[in-house]
Amino acid sequence: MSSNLVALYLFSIDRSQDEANDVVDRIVEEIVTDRMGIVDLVTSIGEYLTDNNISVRAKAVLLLSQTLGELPKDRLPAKHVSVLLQFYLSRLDDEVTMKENALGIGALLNMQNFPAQKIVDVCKALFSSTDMPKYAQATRLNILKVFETIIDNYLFFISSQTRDAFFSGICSTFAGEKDPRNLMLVFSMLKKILSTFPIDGFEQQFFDITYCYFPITFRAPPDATNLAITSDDLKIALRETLVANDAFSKLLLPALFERLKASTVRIKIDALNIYIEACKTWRVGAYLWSAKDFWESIKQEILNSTDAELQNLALGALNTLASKFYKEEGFSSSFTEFVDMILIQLSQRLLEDVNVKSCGSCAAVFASLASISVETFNYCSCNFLPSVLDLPMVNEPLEKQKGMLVFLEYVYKCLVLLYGKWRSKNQADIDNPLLVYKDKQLSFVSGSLMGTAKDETEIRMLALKVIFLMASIKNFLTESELTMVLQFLDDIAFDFSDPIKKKATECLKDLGLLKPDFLLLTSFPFAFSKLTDDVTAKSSSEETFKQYLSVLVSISEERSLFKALVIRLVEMLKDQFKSKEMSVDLVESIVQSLSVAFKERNDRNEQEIPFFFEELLKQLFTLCFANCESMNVRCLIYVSQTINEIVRVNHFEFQEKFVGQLWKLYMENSNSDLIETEGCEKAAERFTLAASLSDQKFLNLVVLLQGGLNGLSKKLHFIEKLNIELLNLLINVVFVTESPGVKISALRLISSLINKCEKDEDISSFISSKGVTSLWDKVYTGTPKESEAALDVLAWVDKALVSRKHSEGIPLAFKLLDTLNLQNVGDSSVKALSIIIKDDPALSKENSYVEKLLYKQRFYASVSPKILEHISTATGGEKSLYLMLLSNVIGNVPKEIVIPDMPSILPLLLQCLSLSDISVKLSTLNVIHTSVKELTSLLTEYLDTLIPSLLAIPKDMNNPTVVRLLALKCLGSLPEFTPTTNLQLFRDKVIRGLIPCLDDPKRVVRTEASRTRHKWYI
Amino acid sequence: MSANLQNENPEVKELNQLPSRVEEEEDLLLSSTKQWLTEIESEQTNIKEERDPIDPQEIYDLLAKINDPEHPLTLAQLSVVKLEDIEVVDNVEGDSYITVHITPTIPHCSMCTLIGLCIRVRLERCLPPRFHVDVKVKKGTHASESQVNKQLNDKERVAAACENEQLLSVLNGMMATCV
Repeated sequence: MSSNLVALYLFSIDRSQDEANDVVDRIVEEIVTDRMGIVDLVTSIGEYLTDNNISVRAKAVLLLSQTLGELPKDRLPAKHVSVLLQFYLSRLDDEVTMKENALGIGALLNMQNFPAQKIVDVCKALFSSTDMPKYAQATRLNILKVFETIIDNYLFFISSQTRDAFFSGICSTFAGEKDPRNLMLVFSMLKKILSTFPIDGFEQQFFDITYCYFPITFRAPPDATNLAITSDDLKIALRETLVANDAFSKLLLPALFERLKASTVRIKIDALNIYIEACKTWRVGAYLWSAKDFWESIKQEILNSTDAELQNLALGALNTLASKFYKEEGFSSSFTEFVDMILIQLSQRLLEDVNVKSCGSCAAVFASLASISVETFNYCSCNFLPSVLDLPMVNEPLEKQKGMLVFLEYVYKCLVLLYGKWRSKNQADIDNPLLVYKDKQLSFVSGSLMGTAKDETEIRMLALKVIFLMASIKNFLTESELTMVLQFLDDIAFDFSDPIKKKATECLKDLGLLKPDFLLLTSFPFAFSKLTDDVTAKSSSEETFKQYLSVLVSISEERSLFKALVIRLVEMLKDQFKSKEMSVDLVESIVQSLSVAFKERNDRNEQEIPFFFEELLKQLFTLCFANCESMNVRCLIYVSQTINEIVRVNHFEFQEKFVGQLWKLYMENSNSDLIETEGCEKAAERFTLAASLSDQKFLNLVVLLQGGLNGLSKKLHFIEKLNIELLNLLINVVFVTESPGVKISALRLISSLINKCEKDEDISSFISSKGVTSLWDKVYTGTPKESEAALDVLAWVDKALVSRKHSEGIPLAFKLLDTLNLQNVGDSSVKALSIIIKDDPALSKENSYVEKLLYKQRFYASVSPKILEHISTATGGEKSLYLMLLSNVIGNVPKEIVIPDMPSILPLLLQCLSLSDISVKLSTLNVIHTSVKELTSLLTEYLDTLIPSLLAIPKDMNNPTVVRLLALKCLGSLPEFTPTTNLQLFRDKVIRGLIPCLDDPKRVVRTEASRTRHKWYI
Repeated sequence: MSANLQNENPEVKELNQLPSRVEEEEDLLLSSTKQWLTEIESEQTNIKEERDPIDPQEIYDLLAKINDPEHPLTLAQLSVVKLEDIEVVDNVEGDSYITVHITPTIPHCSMCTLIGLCIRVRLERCLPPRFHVDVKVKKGTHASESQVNKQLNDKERVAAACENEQLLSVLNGMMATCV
């Protein structure tokens, strides 16, 4: 039996490795089930082991080795393992079967019953019989794996008597390895030996076989696709090996310093990384002696380098070294000696020349030393700063002033780090050495910020950063100084032509988080008085109001500031409505800013809901009800969005109470708490939703109802049960209203209510109710306006169904699809069907709108085949309607689901590019732009059609900016992903064709055109 | 080339120190806004577009990313191209011209002509043909200023240089980072 299997193995191994493996598996099974003994196997292959044919010998040994490798680890008794080991060791002089031998020895070493005392014999035999440079990579790898097993499992069986022989054997066996795969193994083994064993007496040998690889670089040959090892892997492995034992200290560090003094940037970076790692891993005593040498070898890099990465790494290394030094020795004389040496050199350099470069590098070195602790900061400051800070600053050349500001930025960053910001719990003693310079520096920095020309952006930006840092440090500036800084920042942030206004706004915001009371007393009065002045002077436009308010919103992130801002804005609104000369622009800007402020607050996930929100809702409803005649729908929508933001994040009980009051206000003729009695009780008394249907001005108030109900939790009783009465009223609103804003609010509310309702059956019965079924009659027989409104209602109802995967959702969509054939209704049908799949900002998950998993995929999979079918049969105008619909659907579903269908869809999408409808172009271009990478080969087939269409779009000024921009982006992405040979034909045409786009009125388009044109110079 | 640098230690500006126009408009155009109103507005408002004039910053942005032939740094980082040294007259109806003054890093820089040529090629590729482009060395910054200026503004020489494939590939290399 065994001899048959052996013969089969020898026969099959040349043909297929899998077959041979099967044979090995069978042999292993035979042995495990005791149908064959290991002795039988050895006997069966015996004759082949001495065969003159090298290949046969190798195969026979391989069979035995493979079998041993596959056997369970506890299968062989110690006696068998010993005999087999002896057998393998005696064969080591057969060089041609070395690879297979090594495999077998490795398998035996892994056996549970391997006699550990034999490990010395194994090592001796391997050291004496192997000559690594002679062997191929795979053979060397197998031998190295044997050593790996030895080092992993038997290292402690190497006694002190045999240690020397083992180490020298290892050093000679491992030396000179060149293959990256083997090298990774060598490094990992050396690392284990070095980190486990003391290597006294062998430092030089181990160092030589390791350091000889530095600097290591490796680039995998282009055909080695399976080689996963990168240059970085090797670098990391080498680094870890070199720092594994601090016995290398005296050998490694001088060698690294040599490299740091003179080599290329990459090598210096590698050397620095090793040094940093050594500082982190070794005992401090092992490298402290090198501190001065390190500084000498790296100072040129820090003070003069042009490579930022190297400079930062060198600074990081200096910081690591100094902090370890400080931790180990404290504030000892050797530490201060080291620091003094560096500081003296810095002073000398700064005295030679003060400019941005010298100040930046010297300050960075200062910071890396001083930032270690308050003690070191004080020491460094006292010994070094006077020489710099006493230099004259004012009236010096601009370059010198900039240098000084760069210097101060580093110094104050250290101060922030060590002494903490306002509100921080850091209790470091503030009696810091910079206090004596405070006045001088504050006046210098203020002068640079406010006294230089506006367009000197660089120096003003630097001054801004420094003054902000000064203002942030806890207990550093006095109250009056802080106020002055805030006044400067206000002047800049509210000067909309100032190029650094954005940075100033950020600084104000951050200071607002630290010292809100100061902003409240300084920035708020300043901004509001300027705003009021502008309103009174009637000199400003809506844009200016929005800019003021947007800065105010940005800086009011802190809770008390936010509250103050909201109160002030609402008061301002009230004043405007009371005023005889109401500024519509200002009112609109305020309500818009309020909605943005609340949205941003919610986006930041600020959990706490201030108590005044309840009061605020009341004020907003009252204001709108009292002034509904003078307030336009745009303003109402902004207020509605604010209400939605307030309600949606509020707790359940609040929502429950709120919805009750809202119901009273809109549906019952009774007093609601949402209306303050002052001034508008009459309006509210007369008002109900049903009654408002006859008055357009009151009808506009539906917008607020939508804002109130839109964000409610699904678990509210009001939301769980479908409110048919309200739904029917809302449907009526859609038909009656003349304002598109009111119409869309009513539609959103209908969709939201249906989507969030608890039971599917309630929805089904509503759909089959007369209120909905009669809509179909209006679609087919009503006036164009009626059928459009009916289609809209049906589409928004279907949107609710499709996104919660209601069973009626898709059938309803099919019915809507059928309306595309109707005359005069087609356009509205396309719009309606697109709504179903398009994301709506009000109907989102944040507002508890139900969006079930993969609902878009399901819709796409059901509807797109129908659309494609219609496209193939339709003609003329109808076809373009289907194309528009297809493009809208595809543009609104995840691209991953469309890509598989692209071969059939792409030709149709290309036709969409020539349609005049802008939304179609936009969604088509979006699809092409986002999927061009995946569609490269497909697009190549259609370049003839695609390129002319894409070239035509940006030239046509009827297309909006975003469409022109996207067309250029699509065109520009072609050379990135398509093979150049396919594009050569079109190159000149595109380059010529893009010339008109270089003169586009919009800068974004021009910039994109030049980018695209640049890419086409292939 | 790198073995024998003409200016081994040039003054380098940090990237964040360079004058730049924050390009928010594109993000704004392409990002979907969460404001409820936009849905209605996009259907209602007519497209009205005001012209953004071509200004020195726009030209600076076109040139800032060109790589120096000697150093792995851009012309803006080396201050070869500066915002204040760009003059633009943008007149859609009449004459439009652009003058760029370049500042070599050292007065005897032999790369100056190559840099000037690259700037000229870049501008000709990126600007509408109505612009007359002048690239000059800033007064007093180069030893052979007039000679370089003459070379750079000689149309035939520039055209001939662009025919030279080897030179063109060097120029393309310098402009590779402009995307």
